[in-house]
Amino acid sequence: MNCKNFKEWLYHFQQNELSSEREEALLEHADACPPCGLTLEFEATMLATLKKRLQPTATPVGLESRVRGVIENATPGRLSSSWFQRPFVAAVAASLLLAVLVIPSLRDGEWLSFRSVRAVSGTVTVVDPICEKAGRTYEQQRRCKNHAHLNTLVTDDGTEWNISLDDERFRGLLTDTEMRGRRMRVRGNLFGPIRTLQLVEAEVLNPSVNEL
Amino acid sequence: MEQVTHGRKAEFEEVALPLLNPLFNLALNLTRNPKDAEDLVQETYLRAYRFFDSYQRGTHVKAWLFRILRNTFINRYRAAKVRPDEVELDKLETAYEKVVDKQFLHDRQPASPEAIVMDGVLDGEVEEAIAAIPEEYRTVVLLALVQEMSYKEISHALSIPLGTVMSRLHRGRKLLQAKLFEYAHRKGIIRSTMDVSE
Repeated sequence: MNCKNFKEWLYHFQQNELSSEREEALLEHADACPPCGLTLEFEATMLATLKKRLQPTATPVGLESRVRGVIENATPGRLSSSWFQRPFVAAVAASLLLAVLVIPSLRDGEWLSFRSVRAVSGTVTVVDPICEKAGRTYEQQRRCKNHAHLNTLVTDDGTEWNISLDDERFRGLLTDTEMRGRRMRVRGNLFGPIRTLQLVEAEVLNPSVNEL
Repeated sequence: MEQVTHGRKAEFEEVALPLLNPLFNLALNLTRNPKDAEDLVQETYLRAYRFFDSYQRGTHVKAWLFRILRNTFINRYRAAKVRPDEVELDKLETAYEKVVDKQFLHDRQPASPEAIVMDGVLDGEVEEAIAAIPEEYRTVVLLALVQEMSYKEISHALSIPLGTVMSRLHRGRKLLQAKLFEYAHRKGIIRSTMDVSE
């Protein structure tokens, strides 16, 4: 062990990520080398102090019930799929939804506060959110074969909208890997609490992958 | 159908809700605003529930939830994301190393690191120092120091290789400590300059 190795391994030692042999070698070196011994002392104090200062904050009162409420009203992914696999149910639900919520909201374009639905329009990008957040490029996202990765729409300000399944014209958009990275102009109804966009119109702005 | 939904909800709540506090703390450290942190946590749970099928039972649920939270944060704040200049970060890191080397390891000045962080720097300044380091370093530092996660767990949570976890933690800690030293220097607790233009 030399001073260079010591500096390289010091933080790993502090994270308990060194093998016992290396740990022993590091401590032996710190004993034998005064500057490294001081560095160890300094960094140990620094780390302990930082940890003390970064103590967790208590969870705000009410957050747990708020989260429980959100889960209570949400639908898990698999159930959405089974709903999607029943065209009759989907068609009835979509018709009801259109009649009750969507048509009025599109007519006046105002917030429907009682159900948090509003008419929206704008330009979005189709992404595979899981690959996107893993830092993968659109090209890599198009090559992703993971069927659990469902497309979402991302607005230019970074807001993510889930794609509603209730209109068969747009269902394919949810799983079409070739659409990833494409820009679209969309219009529809946004269900605020679940950030889901029920598409009414969608136009692809860059239809060829070569234009991306 | 209702029974299935109820069973899944119960299972999700059982594995995910005990992690509310660690998630809130990471959210708070990332957003620096309790209201935003609450919204971020709520959205994280909603997304996690929606994607609960993709979660592999028995795997590290904390890492899975942290990944969703961090990705949601990045997505939401994508437009506002401003990356500090790498050259400035390099300078700050070098200046810090010089100060530590000169004052603490050779001159043994009276102020200990503990005095700097505990007495010299206010709570708000610690938060400010964390917020000042780039997000990719900040998250790794918080997961390692506050959540006490292993390299492997962090690698899984952030979908990055182990080597990247190590280098980000190393650099993130240096940058965080450098920022704290900057505050301490401004208050006269340490003598050597932290001027990055030197």
